[in-house]
Amino acid sequence: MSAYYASRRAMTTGMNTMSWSRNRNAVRHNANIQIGSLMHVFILFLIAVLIGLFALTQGTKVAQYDADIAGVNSEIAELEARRDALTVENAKITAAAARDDSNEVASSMVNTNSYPEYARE
Amino acid sequence: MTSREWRYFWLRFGLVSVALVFLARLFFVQIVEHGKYVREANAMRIKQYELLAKRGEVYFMDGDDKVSPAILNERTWTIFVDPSFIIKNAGTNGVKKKEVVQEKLTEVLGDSLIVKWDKVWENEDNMYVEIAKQIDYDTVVKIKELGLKGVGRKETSRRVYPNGTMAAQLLGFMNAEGTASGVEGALDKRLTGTNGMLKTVTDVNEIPISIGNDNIEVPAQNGENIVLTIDENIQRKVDGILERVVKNYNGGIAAASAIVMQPTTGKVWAMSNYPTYNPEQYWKEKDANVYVNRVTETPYEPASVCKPFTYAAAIDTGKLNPDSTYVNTGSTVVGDRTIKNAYSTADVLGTLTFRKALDYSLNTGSVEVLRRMGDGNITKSARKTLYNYYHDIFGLGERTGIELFEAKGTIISPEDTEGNAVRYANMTFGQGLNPTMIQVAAGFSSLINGGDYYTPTVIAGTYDNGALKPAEAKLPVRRTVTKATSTEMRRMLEEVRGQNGGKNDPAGYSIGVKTGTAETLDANGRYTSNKTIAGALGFGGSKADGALPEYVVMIRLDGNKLLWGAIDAIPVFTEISNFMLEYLRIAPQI
Repeated sequence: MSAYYASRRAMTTGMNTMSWSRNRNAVRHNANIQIGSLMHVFILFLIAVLIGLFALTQGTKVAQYDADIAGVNSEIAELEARRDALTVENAKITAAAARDDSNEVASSMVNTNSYPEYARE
Repeated sequence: MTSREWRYFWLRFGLVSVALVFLARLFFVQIVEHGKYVREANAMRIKQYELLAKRGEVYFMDGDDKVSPAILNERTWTIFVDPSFIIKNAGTNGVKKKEVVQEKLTEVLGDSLIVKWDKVWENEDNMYVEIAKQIDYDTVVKIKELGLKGVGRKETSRRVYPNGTMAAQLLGFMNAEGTASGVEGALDKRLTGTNGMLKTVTDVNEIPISIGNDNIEVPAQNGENIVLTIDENIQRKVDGILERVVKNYNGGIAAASAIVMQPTTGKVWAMSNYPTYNPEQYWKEKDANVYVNRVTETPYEPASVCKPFTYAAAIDTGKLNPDSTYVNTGSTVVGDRTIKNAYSTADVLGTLTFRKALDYSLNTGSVEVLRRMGDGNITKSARKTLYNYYHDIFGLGERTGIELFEAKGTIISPEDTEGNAVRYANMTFGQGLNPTMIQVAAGFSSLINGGDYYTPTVIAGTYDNGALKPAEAKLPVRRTVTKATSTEMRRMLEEVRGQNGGKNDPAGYSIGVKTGTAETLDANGRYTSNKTIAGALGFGGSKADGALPEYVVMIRLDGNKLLWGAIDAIPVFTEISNFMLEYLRIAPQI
């Protein structure tokens, strides 16, 4: 690649005047290698693919997180199911124990049926 | 143009043409048929799920501030197989042969299998056959560990009653058609939550992903966890007593019911019926009558337990001084009927005070009370007064408003042609009208609590995140009798108790009761004494000055033979009453 020309303070000419424009500091280059229209299309395609891949990577990352969340939710559901099963079992055992206690107390109580009663109606 | 330029021209032309074709196709697909493809894509990637609301659980009280589960939800699973998948893929990718699947599942599920395996494999194109329902967690874990492909599970739920048959009629159940009884039915709206909705983009494995703007989540609103006023310790005690009594009578009692309530709040502490059933296996019962909560749903003639209402009406209207007298001849004539006393020994004949007439539950006494309300005759005015007290004031023959299914019952107005003197004479001792037990117990509570009528209630509050949130305290809805009348009635009923099992009460308490023996109608519609309903209705509490009764107990025993309130129902009342004195830790006043 080589400098073709450098333009600094180009002078403009008007009808009867000459003036210095502002300093543009512009550099122009002329490439040694020229690319054709096919290569342009190919490069654009490559850029599109790269952008696509980037988007896909980000999307996949989100999907991966979602999959992880779904996995954790599944574990939570599993543990909740286990907790519920144990809660029910616990309630049944507690109720059975209370029944047994109640029967024990009842059997030790005086049977009031043994007292004679009188018909009053 | 040179040939090289022509080649470029045609190459460009070709590329542009292809690009134009693509553009045209893209335009067609993305612009013209945009809507169609969006719909198709959404159908593939967007899934909509219903988020099921959890049905509220039901709890009993366990003492003053603790709760105890009455109805819980248990997760269960329906197990299904995909015969098409198993048969077509057997031996590949770890899919077991159908014989292996069958053997392993049979080993784990055992008697829970609901289909024969021949039927399962019958149709090779079938993709879904349910083989077991309501499978518990432990079994599902075992099935999961088998790792069988082509076998799936679907989560369901069932109601569990940890206490078995306890308070079965009160709690009720919901059948497969969604028809429910008891609390399950009456409080269904509060127990049923609102299902939510999840609309989400899913990946190929149908896992929800958060990409896209189409995700909508409306969380499910679970049903309320309701705490009942029923105290599990009292309920268990009462259930046990009724069961023992019915069994001890060897068929002499067809059914027994009882209610225990707090007269100063209307809270129901126990509501019991026997025979009973297990709500978890309600379908095994052959007699649907066993589902009925007779305390609120079955009106009946309560007989002499209604006499306190008659006396209270007369005392409250200033028509009766309980120490005034009448002459008891053992019977009295009203219209074309002769009404007799059930208790007619010589010692109660002659001039008696009304106080004594109530002690001995004399029908002639209560008919005479009605006459006093009519200044000597059973006038329409007397009948209107009695109807006003029975129906409008004490609430007999009208639904109480308790949060349960309840029957209205019947009470004939004096304006009705059937509301004649004979009927009203009968009504003074509780025949010829049909209230429910809850109506009688609620009215009686107001009679002995100083005159405040509380709507009976079974709801103590709600239970959320391990904390009981009490329901708003209910205020009395009306006045029934004056404090003086209420005090007088308590005193009279304490005297009745002295004649009816009072010797079995511990000393130092205020305990009153009224018994009743109701004749029933036979197949010809005539009253018979061969089968009676024995009842007892009373209260108990501290004997301290100004103390109000702390509990009301009502018993109903439906006999297959002649049962007496004072013989058969009183021991049941005594046992419950003595338990309540101890359970409520009421201090005696010696």
